[in-house]
Amino acid sequence: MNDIHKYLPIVTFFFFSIGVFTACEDPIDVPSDFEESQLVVDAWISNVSEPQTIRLSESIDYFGGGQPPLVSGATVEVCNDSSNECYTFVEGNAGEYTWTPEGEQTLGQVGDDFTLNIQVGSETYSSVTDLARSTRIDSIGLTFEEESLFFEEGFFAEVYAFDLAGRGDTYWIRAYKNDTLLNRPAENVVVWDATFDSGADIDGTYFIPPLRASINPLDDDGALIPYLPGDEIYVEVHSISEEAFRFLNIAIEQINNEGIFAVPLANSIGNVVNTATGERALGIFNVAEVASIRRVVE
Amino acid sequence: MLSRLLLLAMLVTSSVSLWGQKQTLSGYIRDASNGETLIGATVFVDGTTTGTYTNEYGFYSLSLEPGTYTIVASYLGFSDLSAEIDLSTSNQKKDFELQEEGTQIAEVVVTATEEDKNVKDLQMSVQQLDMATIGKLPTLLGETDVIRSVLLLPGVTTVGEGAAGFNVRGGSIDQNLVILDEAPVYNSSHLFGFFSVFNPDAVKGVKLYKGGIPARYGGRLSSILDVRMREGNSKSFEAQGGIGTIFSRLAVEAPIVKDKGSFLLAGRRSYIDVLAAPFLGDDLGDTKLNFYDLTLKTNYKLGENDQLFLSGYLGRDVFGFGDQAGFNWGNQTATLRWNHIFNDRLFSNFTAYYSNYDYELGFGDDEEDSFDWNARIINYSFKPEFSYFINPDNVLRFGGQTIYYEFQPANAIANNVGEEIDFSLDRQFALESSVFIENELNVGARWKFNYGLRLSHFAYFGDRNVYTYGDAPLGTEKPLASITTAEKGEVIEDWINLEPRASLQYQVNETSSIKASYMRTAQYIHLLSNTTASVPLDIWTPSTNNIEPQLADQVALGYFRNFDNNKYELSIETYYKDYQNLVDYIDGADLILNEFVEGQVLTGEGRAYGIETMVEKKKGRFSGWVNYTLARTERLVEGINDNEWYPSRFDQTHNLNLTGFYDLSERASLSASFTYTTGTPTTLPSSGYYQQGLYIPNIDDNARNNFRIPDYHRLDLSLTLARNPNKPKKRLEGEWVFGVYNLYGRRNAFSIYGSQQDERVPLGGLADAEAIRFSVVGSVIPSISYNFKFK
Repeated sequence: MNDIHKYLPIVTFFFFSIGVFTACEDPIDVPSDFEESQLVVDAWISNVSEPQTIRLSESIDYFGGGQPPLVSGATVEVCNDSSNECYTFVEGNAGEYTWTPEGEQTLGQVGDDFTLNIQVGSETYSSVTDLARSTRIDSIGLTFEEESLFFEEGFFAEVYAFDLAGRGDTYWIRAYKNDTLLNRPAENVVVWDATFDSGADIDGTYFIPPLRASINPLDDDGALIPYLPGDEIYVEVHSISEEAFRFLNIAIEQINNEGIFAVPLANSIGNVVNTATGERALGIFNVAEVASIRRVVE
Repeated sequence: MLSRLLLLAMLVTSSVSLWGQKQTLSGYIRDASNGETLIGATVFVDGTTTGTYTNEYGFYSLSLEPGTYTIVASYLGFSDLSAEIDLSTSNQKKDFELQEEGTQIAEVVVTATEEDKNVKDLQMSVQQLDMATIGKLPTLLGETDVIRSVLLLPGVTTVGEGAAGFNVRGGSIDQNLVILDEAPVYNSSHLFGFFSVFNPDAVKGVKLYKGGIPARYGGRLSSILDVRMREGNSKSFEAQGGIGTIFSRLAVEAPIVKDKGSFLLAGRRSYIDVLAAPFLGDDLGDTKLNFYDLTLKTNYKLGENDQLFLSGYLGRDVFGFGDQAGFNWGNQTATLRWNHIFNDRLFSNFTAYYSNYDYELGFGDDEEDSFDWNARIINYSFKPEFSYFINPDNVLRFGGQTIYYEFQPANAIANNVGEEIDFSLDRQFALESSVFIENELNVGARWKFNYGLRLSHFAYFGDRNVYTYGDAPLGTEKPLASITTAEKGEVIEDWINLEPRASLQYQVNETSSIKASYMRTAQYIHLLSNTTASVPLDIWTPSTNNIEPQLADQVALGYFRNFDNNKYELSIETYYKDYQNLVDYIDGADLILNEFVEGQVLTGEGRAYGIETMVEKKKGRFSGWVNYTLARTERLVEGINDNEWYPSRFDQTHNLNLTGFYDLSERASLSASFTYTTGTPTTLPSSGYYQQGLYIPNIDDNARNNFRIPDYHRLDLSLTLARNPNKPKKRLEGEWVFGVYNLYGRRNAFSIYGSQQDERVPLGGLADAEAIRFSVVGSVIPSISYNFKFK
């Protein structure tokens, strides 16, 4: 199914050639109805034995952009409710709170429950999640493709990740090319069992081809850039909670939401709650198990 | 309800008692040049207002006191024809064959009667376009388009260029029943939404019912678009066709047996792939990119009282990339109709049809990794209908319909690393049955009524899995509570609805009338679609134990007036429409290939109201229309927009259309159309925030449709150069059409959206976001096409 990428430019070419699409995109100014900023919690951590960082900031005017205000001076703590251990995240750079393990120490293991507690001024926030299992990754496959009208010569990669039997496993694929995280809007992909979403029963098998091929970098126009000899491919599959899956599923849909088949704008729903008011902060708390694989193209 | 039925019975029986003394004149009205029946032609007693119209099959029946009459048949664009009819002793049959204006032969007496249907016909909220008019409209790339022409009518809107379907008085696109010779067409577009599937060479005309829909129609909430095919020339062989920017077309028609039966076969195909192939060579390989349709119609008169019609349609859009990937979709319909005249007063039609819409998607060519997926909706239907022409002032119609549905939401098989996985979804089965009775009654010279009742029943049955869901917080997916199995034929859930319909007309004077109508409509099947424009992959679903049938009530009131001896027609209509059980979706809904899709459906209500005004000039060197609509359409869905009313995606406050045709000379004619509409609403984010390098939009107050895209306006022109009428007629005659779409090249917005630039953002880094205006048509689009006719 990855091959469809190769054909999209042909389809586009055809549409242009018959003159139907003289479509164009122009930047314009729109009025802003941004009123007040909210706390943003970026708490995607894992049980890998390495420093874990939680970022606190505030939301900004979407079209205004710029640097979001960072939230300093907060107290950030993650507790493993299964082992009754708590870990304090210490502020380093402004708004960045980090816990550094000692030796082989980790936050916990698959099945553990976690609570995030944050105190910002007089407000306290908390969130709970559990650590779900990740996949088994067998290999990264490489296929050599010759140069053609729309593609340069090179290797197309696929990650052979295997979803364990049992419906309801959810993952986030994070791929790196030569240490660059592939996170263009169209490069992000979340996985439900071995497919895109919960409604199709594809479970206990390898990820389906478009998911496997999602580790190839894209250019500005959304076309695949092949890997070349010497490139290093590094792929992580993070386990995520069902809440985090739905959060990212909407977020990814929204940051790619263009053209005549756009869906209505929707908010990603987080899981960090103000303990006094019950209101949700923006962002989400997830603790992942990470499966990974590395391959150098030869 | 009972009192209404009693009233109906009384009215009918009281008219029945008057039967005995009258004699009946009945027959067909046809176009003399090719034998095509004329729908809605008038037949009246000369010098009086007593008369009637031909029905969808060109049939009329007129009962009069015994005597001798001069009967006049007339139809817009044709010369009147009159005949002396002796009805003093017996019923008579008389078929009229009308000559097109300008081609009449000397013997025929021509009386120029202008049409006054606008004022005299009871039906309101109806728009009719014949092919001659549709053919003159300037179009995108010069392709005559039945569906797009409907967009120029009041009360009809679209979410934008390239979007499939149309919206009528605040209804979504699946609330329109588009029928081609009675068979429903589930996807009326080629190439997503740019061209309609109807071949103009095969269409006689279209009629759009927006309100006051008579009881004989049902199944959708908002409109009926009745597309009628031509029967084919029953006098002589004829071929026509053309080469346009997109399609090449050819249609042939001929008598099977002269004046008894004929056929029409019309085909179109896009041809850009053929032209481009030599230039692209090997890179294209087995690439296929085309769309085509084939239309067939035949009819045969079995005798004086029986006529058979067989129509068929087959259309497909094909995208294929060798063995690697393929995507195609299309409709197929087949209709068999039998008109039987039991006697001079009782006309009947029996229709049986088949309709299918399906799509197919495939990737991969090896056993290791491949994916094949198709989905379809299939119908079989039988529909008997009877018209009883009691007298010119009283027509009784009754009948019924039964539709068997089979939905195949997904037949999907994947090979994944050598392992075969079947993740097909269960089929859904349903039976929709209805009966109706309808009485059209004129009381005195001033009052006309059409009241009726439709009783519809829908049963959703097995065999399949039945899902029940628990409660969920507003706007989120409902959790699965249980799965049970329904046996084959076991009714899972059924519904019954009474749909009263009524229209009345008060004739104020010769040139003006007031009309009012009420209708309730029920809709049992729904298109699952949450994108701005519907995609060919969207699937239809029946009402299920989790999705209720949609209901709508509409009242309309109108004032109709003709000026200057019927040269100008004015209509002003206002309506209010109330919707129940509208289908909407949770955020992030996944509507295809989803076993649990019913848990992602939300239910809402809606309301739409507005005023539609139209002035039309039908004849003369300069003709055309101007219409202006002021309207509002809103939705209320628990879980969307903080549970408050919000404007629907196709709400347009102002909608203005100007369409004009001007004959420059005997050969050349100029057409222009101008459209202005208020921008449709969309949702823009207020705030943004970062998660792992993704810049995520957020709407702080959960608003839906809180922003309007810029107003839309566009001017199109076309120039038609026909045969020089002063030169002798040839067997082959051609015409050139030069068109310009979007003359002043405005970049009309299809949508405005916020977009994070397509770059990679390191953790803790910043992204740029901007508002993007997306225009489907960003420039002037000229076109040239050539049409020919061979006789």
